[in-house]
Amino acid sequence: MAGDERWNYGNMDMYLPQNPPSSGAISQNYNQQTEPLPHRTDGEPPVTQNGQATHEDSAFYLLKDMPGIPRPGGPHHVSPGAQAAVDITGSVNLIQHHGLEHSFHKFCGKKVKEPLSNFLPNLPGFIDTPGLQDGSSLRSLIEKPPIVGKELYQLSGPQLQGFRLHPGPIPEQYRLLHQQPPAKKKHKNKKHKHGGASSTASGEKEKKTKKQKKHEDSEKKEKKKKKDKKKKKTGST
Amino acid sequence: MAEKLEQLEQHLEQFIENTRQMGIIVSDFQPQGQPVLNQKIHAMITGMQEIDRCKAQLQDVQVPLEVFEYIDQGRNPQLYTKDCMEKSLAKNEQVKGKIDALKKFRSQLMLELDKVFPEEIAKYKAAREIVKEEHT
Repeated sequence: MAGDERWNYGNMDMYLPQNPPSSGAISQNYNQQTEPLPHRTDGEPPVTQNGQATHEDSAFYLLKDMPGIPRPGGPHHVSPGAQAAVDITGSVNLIQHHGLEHSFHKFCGKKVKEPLSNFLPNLPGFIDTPGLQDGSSLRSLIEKPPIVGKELYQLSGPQLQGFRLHPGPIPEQYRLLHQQPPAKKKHKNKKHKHGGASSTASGEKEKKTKKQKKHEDSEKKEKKKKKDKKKKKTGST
Repeated sequence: MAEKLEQLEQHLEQFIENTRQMGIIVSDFQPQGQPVLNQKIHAMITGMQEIDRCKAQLQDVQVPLEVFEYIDQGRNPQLYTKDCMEKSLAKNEQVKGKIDALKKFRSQLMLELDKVFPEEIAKYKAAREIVKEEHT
């Protein structure tokens, strides 16, 4: 995997010594040092007793845990939660780690169709149009929630009188609401969509129609034979 | 959870079907259809009561708001899940690349520092070993 080259290296200079010392000078200073250096968490080099930061003491400040310095939870104590969090990094395939491989192949392996009607094929009406056009968007429902919390009661007889309608068709502008979208052509490969159940059902139907045809054909033949016999009898007499 | 969602889905489908049938009755209304219409209105109120009862069982279901944007645009909400998965995979790969680059930088830095400050790096490595042993 390629790394991101647009990183900001601006803050990295604070960790580098400004004047690189010779190795001899540092070793001399380390031998003279008797007390452990105070631990700082802000990344700055430790301060000596005279209050001045020295680059000679900068050999170990990069260590997270300084040897010889006790920590509140015990020597070099790390809580289990923190340790577990440290183990899981971006270098691990997190989809595999969380057991989402099946979901990943299901959504990203196959082509997911764009229209909403493919997700809800049984809904009547035109649902693929944007909700903002006809004011049926879910966003408007969230921004202006309806009145809730009231009890729902059945309507009484006098209340139902308000729903007495005049006979006849409704105006044309309202008829479009009940129009169904054109039926989609079903592909011949029905077996793949519906599995084995419908294939056996369709097979049984085909068998039935074949059986019915055979039965009908045999009945027709019998009727013809009877007619022929009658004709022969009437002809002979 | 799946059963509760299936139950809600069934109630919603019945409600929608009832509404559709009401629309057909109303589109070309006949007087003899009035009792049927009244029956449909009763069924609609019953449907709303059942859907309201389902609400209490699904209080802990959380839906991201971004899905609503997909639905409002007439798009399949499964595309949102697909986009989330692809984005997370891309971010995972990006972070892994950064980690690998930093590891390479660290190893290269240690090599160069070892050349310039051999004694200090030797002490540093010894201190790191102590820390590792105390962790394990």
